[in-house]
Amino acid sequence: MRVLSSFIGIFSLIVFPAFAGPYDPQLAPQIDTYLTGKNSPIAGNGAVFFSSGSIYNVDPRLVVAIAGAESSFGTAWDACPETGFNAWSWFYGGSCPNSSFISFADGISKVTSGIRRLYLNKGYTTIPQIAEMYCGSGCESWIPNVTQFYTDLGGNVNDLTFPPPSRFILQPGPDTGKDIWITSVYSYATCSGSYPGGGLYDSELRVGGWGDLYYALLQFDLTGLPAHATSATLWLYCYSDNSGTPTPMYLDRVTQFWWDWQMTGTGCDHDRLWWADRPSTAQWSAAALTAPVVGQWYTVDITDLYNAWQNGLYPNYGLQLRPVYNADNFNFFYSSRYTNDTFRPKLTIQQ
Amino acid sequence: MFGRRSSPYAVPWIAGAFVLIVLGAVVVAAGVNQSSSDSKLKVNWSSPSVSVLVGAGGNLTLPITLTSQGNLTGINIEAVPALAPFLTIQPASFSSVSSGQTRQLSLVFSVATNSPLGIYNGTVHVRMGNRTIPQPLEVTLTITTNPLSILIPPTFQLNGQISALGGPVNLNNFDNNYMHGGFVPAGGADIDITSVPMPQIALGDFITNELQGAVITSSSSVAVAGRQADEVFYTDNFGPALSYRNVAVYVPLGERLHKIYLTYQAGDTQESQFLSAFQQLISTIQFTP
Repeated sequence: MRVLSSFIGIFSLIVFPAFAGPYDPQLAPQIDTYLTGKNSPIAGNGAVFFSSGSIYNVDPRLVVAIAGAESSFGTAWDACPETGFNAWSWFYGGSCPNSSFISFADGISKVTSGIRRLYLNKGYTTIPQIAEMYCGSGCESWIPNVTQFYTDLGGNVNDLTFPPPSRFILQPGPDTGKDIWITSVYSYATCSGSYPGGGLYDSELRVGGWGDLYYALLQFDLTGLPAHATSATLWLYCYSDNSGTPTPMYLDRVTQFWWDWQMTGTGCDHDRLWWADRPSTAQWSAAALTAPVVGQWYTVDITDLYNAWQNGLYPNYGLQLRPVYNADNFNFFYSSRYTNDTFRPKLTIQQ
Repeated sequence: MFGRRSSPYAVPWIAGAFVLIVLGAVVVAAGVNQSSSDSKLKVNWSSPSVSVLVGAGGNLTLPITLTSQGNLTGINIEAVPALAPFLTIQPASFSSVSSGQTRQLSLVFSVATNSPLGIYNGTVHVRMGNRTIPQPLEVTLTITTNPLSILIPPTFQLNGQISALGGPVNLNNFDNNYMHGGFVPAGGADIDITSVPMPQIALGDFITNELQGAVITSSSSVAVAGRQADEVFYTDNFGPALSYRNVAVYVPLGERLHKIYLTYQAGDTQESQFLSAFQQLISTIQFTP
């Protein structure tokens, strides 16, 4: 086992151990092929199974296999309504009132995280042990079915984890973080008046608007991180919708240097990034990102963008989150200046 | 003349009989009084029952108090034969315990490495002469292969099925009736104890890694079994309207990292009792070297 733990510069950079194990970088298409063969509506989510398994260190084959045992891979909805995307029958007790997911991808992510924290962390490391809690009664076929589906995909029943070769977490603090929110009309400066459109450099990142616009900008220093990632995920903690409604967002690539606002700019002070001085951007993903849920972590897959930065295709000026809606729509996230370091934005990278 | 005459022994016999009757009455009366007094003799334990899990080769010492209702003299405290090979009481005797007085004792469980695994039920009772003074203390001892010893909190039971499958020590207060998916039901709480090889990275990094996706609300250092440990409070949001509160305690010990978890539904009205039970377990846990 190769093990590293270090800090690079003044960033909080955590390097996790490398293992030889069930990790297979080609697993995502294999899962899709397998599910297609089962006529499963979950087919096409192989990449989600893979990235969720990588994030939570849970073999994605197990999550596929449980869906097989519980709902014949999402083709039998005797337990839970099809509209809930709950192919894993979470919380089933005659109905599934608390178990609806907004998509299969949402279900895959949540079930994978549940397998990690409800089972593997606590020492339930075999399929029979998991079965004892997951499916307490009337589940005689659960163990053989899950085992069969799991091994069909090449899973190792003696190891239900999915540790990637290396994993990094970057979570800057107040001294090193580069993140800020800006707004288009109102000025939060005491010298406001002739220079509208200035946000704040504080403990939050706002996206949304109420007629006006609020954008959040973030830039991570990727020095020393892998040149190529199989997965790069941005994590933001959404703590409020400002009594409005959360909004989906667009992910933009920032195309211009901007972290000089404390010395330059057109506004009446240098305490904020003024709207007029915001950097140019280019929309990165055609599709909008889903809206966050208040009180939960929000993740954005930026693997392509990360690799584009790291291979030199584009300079790393960071990214921008732009609202789809601005009619009393708000997503309030914590920034790198938030006092509780647990909730600050972070970037997880897997090689 | 042979008239009726009294036997020369008649008077003494009658007198003797009278004395015997009187003495008997006195004795009976005294006996009645003694019995009535004895029937009021009773001891109360600080906990009416004790359930412990002790790993083979492990030890566990639990403080307990008894309070007398009535004056006791020359009492011995003994475990029934089923428990005696594993349990000693210190001290095992008192010359006297006056009514209302309290005495501190220790229940010392000591299990040899080759002791048969299983569940041992019995009592610890107070004897005065050849009489047992109620109430006996009910004791359940579970001997396992787990490298630890714990006092099982009241209202929690050991999940024997999980133990039989070689899983973690699982305690819960809902008869193992997990919601489908493995979720703790409303009003329930479970405790899991496991261990892993000592991670070769900083403990803080390990915790961050394994709690990925959870919301850590606080963390602090605590002492567990005389060693420094990390205690982390975190919340899991698995459903739109259902979140769980958790406490995880990480205890580095030699080549193993011991981990102890408490889980219950957020907003449960019994939260303080769950936390109290968990802290009681944490405060008494012992690890087998």
